[in-house]
Amino acid sequence: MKTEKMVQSYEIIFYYTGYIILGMAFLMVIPIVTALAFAEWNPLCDFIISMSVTTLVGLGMIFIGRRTHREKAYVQWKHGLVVASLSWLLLMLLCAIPYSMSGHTESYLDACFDVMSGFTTTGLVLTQDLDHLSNALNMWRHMLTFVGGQGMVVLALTFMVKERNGAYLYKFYVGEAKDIELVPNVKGTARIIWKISMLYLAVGTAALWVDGMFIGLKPVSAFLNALYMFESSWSTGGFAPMTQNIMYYHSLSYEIITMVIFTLGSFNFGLHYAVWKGDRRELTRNIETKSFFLTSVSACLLTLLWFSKQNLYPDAVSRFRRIIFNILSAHTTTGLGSVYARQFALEWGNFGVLIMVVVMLIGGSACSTAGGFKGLRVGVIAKGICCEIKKLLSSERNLKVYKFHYIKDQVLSDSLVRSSALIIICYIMLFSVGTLIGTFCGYPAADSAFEAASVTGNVGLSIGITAPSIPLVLKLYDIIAMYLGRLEFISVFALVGFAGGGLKKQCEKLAG
Amino acid sequence: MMDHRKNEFRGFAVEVFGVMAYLALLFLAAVFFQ
Repeated sequence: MKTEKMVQSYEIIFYYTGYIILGMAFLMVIPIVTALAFAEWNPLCDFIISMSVTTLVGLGMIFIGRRTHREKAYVQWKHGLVVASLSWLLLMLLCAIPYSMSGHTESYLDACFDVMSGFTTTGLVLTQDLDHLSNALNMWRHMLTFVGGQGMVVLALTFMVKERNGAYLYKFYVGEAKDIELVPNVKGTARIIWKISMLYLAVGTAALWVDGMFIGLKPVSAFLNALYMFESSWSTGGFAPMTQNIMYYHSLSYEIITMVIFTLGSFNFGLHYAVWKGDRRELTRNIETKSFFLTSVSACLLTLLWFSKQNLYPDAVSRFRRIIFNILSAHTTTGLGSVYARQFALEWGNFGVLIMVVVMLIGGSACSTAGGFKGLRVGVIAKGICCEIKKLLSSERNLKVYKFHYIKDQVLSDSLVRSSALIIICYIMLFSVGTLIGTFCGYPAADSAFEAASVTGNVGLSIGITAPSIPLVLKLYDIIAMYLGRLEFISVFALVGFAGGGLKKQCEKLAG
Repeated sequence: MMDHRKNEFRGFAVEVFGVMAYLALLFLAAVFFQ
């Protein structure tokens, strides 16, 4: 307790946030090496400047909070939550420097929009002339989405902070909405997450590389495209190196490989770990896989039924490529699109757009790279409703404990159902606000709802609204919605509360 | 150690082929609604 009085909260927050920023500065080495390899001298300068600024900010913050390490300050829950949310905000500002310097964005805000879109694995883009981006900037864009998907706070702290008492790292972990413990040691958990991702990175990139050469890309270009598309698919991001997104490749095999990757990427890391450990029944028992299977198959069947009346995509292969690909891309919150944005509005009709809105909001699994409500919460609420009905219909003396399976058998407590419902309500409120702002700005209600669901669920599919020319208020809403949706509200609320509390104290000091 | 690696490889294969089977099921649905 004595230590806590000596080291202020802001010092602890600055200290760990500084490390996270420093971690991202180190990652800028990769685009620098890419720029050197392809002799891209202007991007090289952009990244050297960006890396210098980011390193200075990181070191400055560690210097301000240096007493944290010396005094072995105790990290509280509020610190973990605030560090996670603050570092995402600061990194958005710092990682936007190379975007802004490249000249491909209209303003610094557009650059921040794209960085937040990358970090949150959304995939909406305001960067212009994507087809002529430098290799270094393309590498950076896709790296951001890959690192954001796995959890950059956890990555930075796991590899950069020496373990004193591993338990405190869990508080940062929860702040980044990845509250899972695969092994008792939090560092071990993060390393398992990275091991799973890196193995899939190797296999997925190799598969796309071979396929890329098979469809006519040159070896180097095929490799870079494979790497970018893997990073984008696995992290359920939705970025692509070309304006036409996945349609650029004109390949069924390329689309199937990305579908496999993004479906796997939307699974919980706990599920991957359980299956890899030998518990293969987890795939069929887990409440999230059951929930995902039911909702995705229902959405695909309903949309196929709808299109069978329209006669738009006449054969099975084009239905698979245009309908099922987009439904799964939306449901896993990936955002790779196999039709042009305006086709959703002009060809899919109100029913098709509504199905897309629903699946985008439901999203993928908890503790995965996906966004949305998450299958876990949908499953818990559905199970909660069933249990309530069972309770009403059974004898009053029956005190049955209801359970569900999620990695292990867990009790379906009232508090769990309540917290799941609260988060879903927050998502729906955020989605409603976005739809309101969109309609206020003059866009049709269905288009506004589609775009709001896409940013709230961190999906990245667009119906044609998102462009550099959209009103400022919509850009700001999109950035905030992507940020809130990704961090699942709580840590952002903690940051607002912490900043508000600090401001109030300062005002009281000045007044008194 | 070998068993551990084998388990991991099997788990990986089960996941990949499981998802491919799921996609094949959806393709069959597309054929059905043709």
